[in-house]
Amino acid sequence: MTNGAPSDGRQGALARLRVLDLSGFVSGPYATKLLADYGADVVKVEPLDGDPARRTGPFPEDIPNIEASGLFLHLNTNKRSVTLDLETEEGRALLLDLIPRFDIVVENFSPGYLDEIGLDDATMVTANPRLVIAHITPFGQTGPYRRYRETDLTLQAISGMVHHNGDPDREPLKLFGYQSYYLGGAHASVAILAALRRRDATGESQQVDLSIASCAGNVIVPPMTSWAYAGIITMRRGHGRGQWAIYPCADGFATVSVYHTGREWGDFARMVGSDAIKDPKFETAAGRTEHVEELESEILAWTIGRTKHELQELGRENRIAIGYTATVQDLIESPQLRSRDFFTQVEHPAAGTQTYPGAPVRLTGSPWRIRRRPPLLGEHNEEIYVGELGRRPEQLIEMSSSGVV
Amino acid sequence: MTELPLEGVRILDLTGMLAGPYATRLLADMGAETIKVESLRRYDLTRGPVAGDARARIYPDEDPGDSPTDRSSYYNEMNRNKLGITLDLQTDRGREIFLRLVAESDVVIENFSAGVLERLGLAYETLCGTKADIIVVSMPAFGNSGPWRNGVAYGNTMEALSGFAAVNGYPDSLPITTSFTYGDPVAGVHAAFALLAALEYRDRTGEGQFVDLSQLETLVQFIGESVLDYSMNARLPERTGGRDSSRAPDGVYRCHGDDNWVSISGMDDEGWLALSGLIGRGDLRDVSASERLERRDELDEAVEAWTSTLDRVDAMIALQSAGIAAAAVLDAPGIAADAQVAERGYLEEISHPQAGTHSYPGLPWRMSGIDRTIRMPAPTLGEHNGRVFGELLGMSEGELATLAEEGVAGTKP
Repeated sequence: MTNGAPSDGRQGALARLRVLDLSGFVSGPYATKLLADYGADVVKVEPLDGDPARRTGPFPEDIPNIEASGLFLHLNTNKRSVTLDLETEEGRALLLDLIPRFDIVVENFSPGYLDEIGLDDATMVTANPRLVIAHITPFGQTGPYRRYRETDLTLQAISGMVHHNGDPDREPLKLFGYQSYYLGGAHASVAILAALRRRDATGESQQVDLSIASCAGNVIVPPMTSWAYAGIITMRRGHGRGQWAIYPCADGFATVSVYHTGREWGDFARMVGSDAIKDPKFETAAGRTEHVEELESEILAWTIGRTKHELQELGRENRIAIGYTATVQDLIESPQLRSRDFFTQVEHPAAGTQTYPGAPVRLTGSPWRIRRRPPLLGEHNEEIYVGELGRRPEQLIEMSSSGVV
Repeated sequence: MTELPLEGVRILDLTGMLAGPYATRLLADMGAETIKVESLRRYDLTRGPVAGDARARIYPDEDPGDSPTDRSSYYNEMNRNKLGITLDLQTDRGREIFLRLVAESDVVIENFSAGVLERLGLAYETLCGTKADIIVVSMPAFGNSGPWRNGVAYGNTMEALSGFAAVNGYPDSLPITTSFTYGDPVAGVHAAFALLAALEYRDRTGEGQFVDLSQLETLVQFIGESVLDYSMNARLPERTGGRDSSRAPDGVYRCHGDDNWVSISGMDDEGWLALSGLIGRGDLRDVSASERLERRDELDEAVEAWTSTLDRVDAMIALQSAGIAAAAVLDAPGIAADAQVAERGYLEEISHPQAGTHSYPGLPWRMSGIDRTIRMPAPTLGEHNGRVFGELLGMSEGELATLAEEGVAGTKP
């Protein structure tokens, strides 16, 4: 189960690292998925009823099953799972026994929760003076909103994503799925590896205090500077306008994007080829804005008679950015992704063999690899608590009956 | 210890536009010495110059000034904390100097189309000949192999091809794309991760490597659960208008004033009890979760009758005080005025010699070793030629002058 990399037994890039992952749902787990898929040993500490992602679909045939959630499976490849009730004395003691064996703790509880249960940063750092601690929370550990209730919608809203998505004359739109949480997780992986370098250089514990809302806001690049430089409020663009827009074609839709400087307009006009599009009035950015409706009907006349694959191919040949609106089915059938052997199949005892996204990035010398399928809840309790921490098997049984694990 | 987290890491940055510069911005913000390599003939397109409507968005006071390529808002946001040099890689002298820089660097990152570095005579193998453990991060739109490897794409192209656009839109409308080219930062953050992972591997093993990033393949990660749903159930998601189909009320609600909205979400029975009271509709308090879904439109009207009398931020505060997940839908000025953004110190001001003093987003996290993110404004074209060629490569004033005369390096396009 490798892709984009040789399966010659070379270790993943992060094989040195051990990560104790207290996080759940999407943000923290995406960060630790990246670490795990590139070789880190990630031990996921779940509450007794499991990561909430386990109770969120999709499920095979829509039958809820905590061992078969598609969201959980996607986000927890290559991790081991133990269960632990952190609110018990014994649970806390077990965690503090584990901490010295790990480089990194990742958590996404509400700010203050770990302090309340006696697992504040200082306590963890006492247990391991070289620990990197990553706190991933909706708004960060400080500030007036730190305890605000949230969902992906409200985080996309406060960060600016929602305002900048949708039709200008209708209500603004949240992007699909869990985008703010994914962004938080992806950014956290960058912060964690940077903190680790500083840990190695200084020998000191490092803390990361990440705000998911700020990570989501960080991707709204041009609107923030347009405001700072020129006092302009960028509006959502809907389908776009003119030479930067989405157009219907014979069998779907395709984006056409022609940048306002450089060679692109000339190449685009030559590709479309009609006399009307070559009119000098369209040659400047100002002219294209002034005559935008005419321009749009000329572009539409060109796209509407062509299939999405024809348009894509013409764009490729002429070095113009054109992309059809793919469905997941299109992605799986995509000649590009097939050629690169992107998707991967993973067998799982509860979910069966399913298709998963493959490597987001190919480190050709230190492969991305699915070494372990996503874990069952508490699957590695014995391995970790008995095998690694040296608790006796009967202690594990006792802790299990008293609800610690 | 005040050492920055990535102090001692040197990156030669050949990227332009948004995706690559987003990656190196995160790294430069954490202290990596990032040398942005442009040339007098081919500098980052986001420097402009631009005319027409775009001018208003890009230049301070809509004024290109005497030095327009140094006054672009996009460029200056994406390239702060980086050093800037010019070097014409299409000349033998330019390539020779570039290879000398490679010998002094840890990483080369580029987002040219696949094959461009090879055509410049700067293939990965060549760079390894100069520096055996060099890390090369290559991030063309579609990766370095496959039938589309030479394709051109912007962020919105990627939104379409990755599956985002098809599920982005109102139930009754066409697919739409964002106005922030979402594909670029998503690719960029993964590139930054991969670069640091490759550095960790090099430090452990002594080996550099070639990193091949397809922007398309990074975006698909963010809809991974849909891939599983298709695999499990052959189901394709639909355009839902971004609303939760399992809970109501849920969505964005009109507030007082022009394009003023508040989002309300995560509704459960307790939340509804609070919300129905807050909006003065105690008569609706006992409507059950399933009835709320059936009567969704009616309840949306009742909620909006209340939100439409308030500003978005006041509505948010009232809703949160009642224990309801809600947030103002902020635009750029809303973010600039936001209390949380202010407390976190997320926006930082810095003066740029050509563009003046403006505020820019800093790092979206706090971490040990960093108090303030933006230490240095974006470079003017070729601003650090003297520092990089002189201090790093030991070139003399005379050699620098010759480079400028020959047009290999300089400061005016």
